Amino acid sequence: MPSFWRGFLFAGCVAGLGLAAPYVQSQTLNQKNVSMEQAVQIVQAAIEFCKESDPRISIAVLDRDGLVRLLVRTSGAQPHNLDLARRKAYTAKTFKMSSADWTKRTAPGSDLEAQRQLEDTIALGGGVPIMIGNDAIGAVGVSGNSQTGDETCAKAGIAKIQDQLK
Amino acid sequence: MSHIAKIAAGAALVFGLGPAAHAQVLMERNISMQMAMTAFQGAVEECKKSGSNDITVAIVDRAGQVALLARANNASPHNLELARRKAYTARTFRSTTMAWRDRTAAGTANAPQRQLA
Repeated sequence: MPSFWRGFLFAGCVAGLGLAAPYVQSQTLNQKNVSMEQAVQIVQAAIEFCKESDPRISIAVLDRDGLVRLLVRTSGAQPHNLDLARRKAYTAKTFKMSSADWTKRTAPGSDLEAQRQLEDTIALGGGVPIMIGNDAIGAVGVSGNSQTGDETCAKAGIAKIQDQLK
Repeated sequence: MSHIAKIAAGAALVFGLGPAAHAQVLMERNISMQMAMTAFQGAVEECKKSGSNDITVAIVDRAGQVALLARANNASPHNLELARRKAYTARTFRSTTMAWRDRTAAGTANAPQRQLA
């Protein structure tokens, strides 16, 4: 066999092995996610914690895919509140950080400003991710009061299930 | 009073002043957040009795707007929107969706109602 073809064959074998290796160990993906029971606990805790400071909050709990697990619109909510809560949560979920931190990171003029053009994100505080280690299994978004007040309510909700986040 | 003024005054009396004198802010009853949470949890409890442990629930208010959405742990992608549309249908036609379904069966006079978004 001419050396050119031998080299070609060798390269082919290496490439084949490299591709095959990961698939030998293939298995079903197991991912942690926020359950509805947890979402109910989060919402109840957030409402309870903020009933004095922020009795008019709308709350969104999203799952690891950014989909709605639980939406609760407060009595007397403004038309925008529920969607704002959902978008704050979506922002926190997809960037794995509070929406307030993301807002700072994507400030106008910064390198990441263009992230604000992504659909469903919103540059407002009040969204907090639900983390297990480095994995965002969901997020909570609150709308109805100040941005810091909203974030406090969201964190109080997550704190209720903190011992389950492992 | 001129003829025209008389006519104008009469028209105002008939069309305008009467109802205007009774004008006031509209008071409407609506579902509160607490009621929505209670109804949601009631539905979950009730369905557990019949072996449905994982239901998706939508509650809409008098305007047909979402008051509460809860997606089951094992929900399929369509479940949440279907629950919301069922609630919307029941709200806007003021009847259960089962009754509305029968009333709007294909071939009936009400069938075109199904073309509503």
